[in-house]
Amino acid sequence: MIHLLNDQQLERYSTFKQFVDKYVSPFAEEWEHEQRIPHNVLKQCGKAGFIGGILPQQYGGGEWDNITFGLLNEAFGRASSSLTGLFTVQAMVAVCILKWGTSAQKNQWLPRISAGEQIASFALTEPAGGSNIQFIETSFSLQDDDMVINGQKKWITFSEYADIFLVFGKLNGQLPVACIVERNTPGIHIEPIKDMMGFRASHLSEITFQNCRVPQWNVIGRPGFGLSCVANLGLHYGRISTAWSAAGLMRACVEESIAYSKKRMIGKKLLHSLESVKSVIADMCTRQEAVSLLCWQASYLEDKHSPQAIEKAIMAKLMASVEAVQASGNAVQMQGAAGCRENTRVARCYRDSKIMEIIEGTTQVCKNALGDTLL
Amino acid sequence: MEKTISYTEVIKGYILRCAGLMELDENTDIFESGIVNSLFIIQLMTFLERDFKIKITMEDLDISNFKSVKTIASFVTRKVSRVN
Repeated sequence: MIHLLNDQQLERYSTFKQFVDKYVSPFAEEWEHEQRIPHNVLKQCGKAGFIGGILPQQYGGGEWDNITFGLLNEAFGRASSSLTGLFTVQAMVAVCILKWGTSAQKNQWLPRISAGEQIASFALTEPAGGSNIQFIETSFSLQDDDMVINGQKKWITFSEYADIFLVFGKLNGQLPVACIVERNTPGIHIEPIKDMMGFRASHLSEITFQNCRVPQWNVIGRPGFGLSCVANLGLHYGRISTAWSAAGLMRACVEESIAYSKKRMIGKKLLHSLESVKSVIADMCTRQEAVSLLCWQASYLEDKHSPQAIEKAIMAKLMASVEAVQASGNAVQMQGAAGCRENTRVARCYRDSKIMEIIEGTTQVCKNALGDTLL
Repeated sequence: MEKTISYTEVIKGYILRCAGLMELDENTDIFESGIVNSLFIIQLMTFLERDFKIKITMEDLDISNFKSVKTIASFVTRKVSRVN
């Protein structure tokens, strides 16, 4: 995939990797263990221009193309899936505001998201609804000029830290609506979710909205389009981000496996001299390259503003997450008992990869959506 | 008028290709009839923006703009005339 990148993309990719080597890789294990990423790391990412990279300059963004955004996720995904969760949700919320917000709304929220001063969260999933967004039950009702929100959201990435939430529900039980809710709004209760299998430092939480009153001004887009246009756009970017992050995780698995096979002795032979090990590594590298190409294609088509980008992003996310599970399984297998220790990099990849098969639409939901699009 | 006819044909052709249909009445409600799925509206909007060089914004989010080939063509005509 590297040969498809232009000079600017290569340069930024190199910057991302240097940042990751210095500020992420040495601490990623500790973050997972403590189930938190220090707030200053998030601010540092904002300051470096990583959070608002895809936004226009007028909102403090870097005007990156989507391939560069993908490379950011790939570079960080190699070291910390949890931290890529930050980029995923910031992009999901930011693109929704950018595309469907009013000028005043864009000026209100985008510069702060871009600078890392305000953490945003994409509050779509509900305890009962799972991946099927049509089943959301959170209710919105209009009282005077305010939206009154009642309902529950669950498994919301970075919501423990979030300053603003893009909340999805139905107006009067019918019209899908998307609305920004600020954290300090009375009626919000946030309960952190701990001890997840993977993405342990992604600050997931369950959010309850009880007669939570926000100005109607905060509605993004128009009632009726909250799911079809707003949520689907956010999820599209979420899939691009997750796919690239999974590609990064696969690269970590390949690197770990190659390094381990070159130092591990089995009797008098190094592991990598075994035919079976060569075969596994060849397979892992080939699949990692294939996944990277699918990711590149999805981002490329998004840059070309092609309608096909939607289905290609689903394909990329679908394949990347499934292959990440396979790659991390191989990486653990190669290290045997040593790879089964919880604090090893390959064990973390193993746990994180499974989460990737579930977020931004499970493998099954992605296949259904793809089937609907293709048939 | 000629442009409206041209827009209609382009839009109809795109929806036919996406839905895998041979024919489509220009007045058929494409969402109510179930010939397209929930993801289609953003694909359609992306297609309209790219091929007709328009920008669809919050003000355009009115389902009547996107209901049928006829209403989409009429919407595009209005948007293009504003751009020009």
